[in-house]
Amino acid sequence: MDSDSLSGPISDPLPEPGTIGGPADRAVEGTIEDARARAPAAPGGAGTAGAAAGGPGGSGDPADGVTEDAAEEERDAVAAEEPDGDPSCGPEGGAVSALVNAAARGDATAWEALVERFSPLVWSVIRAHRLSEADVEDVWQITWFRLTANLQKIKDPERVGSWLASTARHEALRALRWSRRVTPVDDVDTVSPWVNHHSPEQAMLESERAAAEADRLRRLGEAFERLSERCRRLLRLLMATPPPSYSEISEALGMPVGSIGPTRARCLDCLRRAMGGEEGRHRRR
Amino acid sequence: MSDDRSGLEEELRDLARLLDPVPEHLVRQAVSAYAWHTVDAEPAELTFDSFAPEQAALVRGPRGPRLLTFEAPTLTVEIEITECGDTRRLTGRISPPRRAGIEVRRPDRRLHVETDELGRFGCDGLSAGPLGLRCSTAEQTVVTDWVAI
Repeated sequence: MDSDSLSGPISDPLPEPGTIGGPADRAVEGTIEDARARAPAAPGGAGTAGAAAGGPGGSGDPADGVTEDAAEEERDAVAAEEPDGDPSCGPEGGAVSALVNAAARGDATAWEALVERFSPLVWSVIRAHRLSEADVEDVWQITWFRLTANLQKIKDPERVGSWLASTARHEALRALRWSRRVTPVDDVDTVSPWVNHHSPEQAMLESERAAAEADRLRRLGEAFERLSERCRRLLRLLMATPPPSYSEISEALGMPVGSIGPTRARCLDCLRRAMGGEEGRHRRR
Repeated sequence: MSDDRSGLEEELRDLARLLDPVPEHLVRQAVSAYAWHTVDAEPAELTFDSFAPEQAALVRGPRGPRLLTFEAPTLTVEIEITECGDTRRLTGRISPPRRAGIEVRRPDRRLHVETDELGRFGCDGLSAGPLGLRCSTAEQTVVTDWVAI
C-alpha cells in the first residue's frame, strides 16, 4: 500500500463484488415518507413507529432496542384514541414548511430559523437516550447534516420535526449499540446532566428566582431521577420548548401515538408521588 | 389533557430550560451545517448499514468491517469502514462503475480522492466522527447521508 492514500485510487484490490454492501432492500433510515406514513399510528399497531426497517426477520416489529417498551405500548395503543390538539396538524399554519422550502432554495436565514425552532426537540431526543458526550455531538451533527442533504426531498415539510426526531432517534440507537467510545456511561450523568453539572440554587441565583422555587425544582429533579427509564425518556422529551407534537414524540421514541397520552399521565402521576415523599425508597433500576 | 398534570409538566419544562438547555456551541454547529447544503446535488439515502441497530442481532462477536450502502436513483455508493486502532480506513465503490471525484466530508474538513475506472476509491487515517461523501461524475453530483464512523 502506498503512503499517498488520500490522493488517489487505492492500489490494492477491493474485496470481491458482493462483500461490500448487503441486502439493499432493507431500508435502515426513516425517510420523510416513512415518517408521514407511520405518524398516524393506526390503532392496533399497524402504524408502529419503530419499525422503519423491519426487524432482522423482516417482520416489521419494532425491535430496535426498546422491544419490551414497544410491545407494552402496543397493547396500550389498542385502547387509546387519537389525541386531539396535535400541533403538527397545523397551528403553525404552514410556517414550518415555508422555512423548509426557503432553506431548500438556499435561504440561510430560513435555515437558522429552522435550527432555532427545532434545536430543543432534537436536543431532547438525544437527551432521552443515554449517550456519551462524544456520541451526543455526533448524533447532533449527523441529524442536522442529514437535513441539509434532504431539504429538497422532503415531501411534507410541515412535518420536518417528525423527520428530525426520527433521524435523531435512529442515530442515537445506532450510537448506543455501536459506540466507538467504550467508556461506560453513567445514567445520571447523561440522562439528567443537571445533577452533576449545575445546582438549581446556582442557576436560580443567576435567574434571580426565589430559594423556595429552587428547592422545589431540585426536588423535582430528584424525583425525576427515581422514575423508570421509560418514564424518564418520555418526560425528558416532553420537556422540550415548545412541547413536541405527538407525532414528533412517536418518532422520537418509537412509541405509537395512541399510547403517549396514557403513558404521560402515568409517568406524571409517578413523578408526583415520588415528590410527595418516599425519598430514596426505591431507587430506579 | 388540561389537568393538573400539565402544571407539573410545565415545571419539568422549566427545569430543562434552566439546567439542561441546548448547548450554545451545538446550536452554532447546527447553523453552520448549512454550509453542506447544495442545491444541485442529488441525495443518496443510506439503505443498508451492517452496524444498524436493526442488524445487531445478526452480528455477534468481534466486529468486522462496517458495510454501508447509499442509493440515489441513478447511482449507488457502497463503502466499507475498517477500524485500525484509533483511525478508520475507508474503501468504496460506486456503481455503475465510472470515474468520479469523491469529496470525503468531515465536520471540519474535506478530502478529495478520485475513483479508478472501476469506480473504486479509498482513503486511510480517518478519525472517528461524522462522515459524508459527495460524488461528482461527468453527468451528476450525488451527496450521501451522513453517518458516524
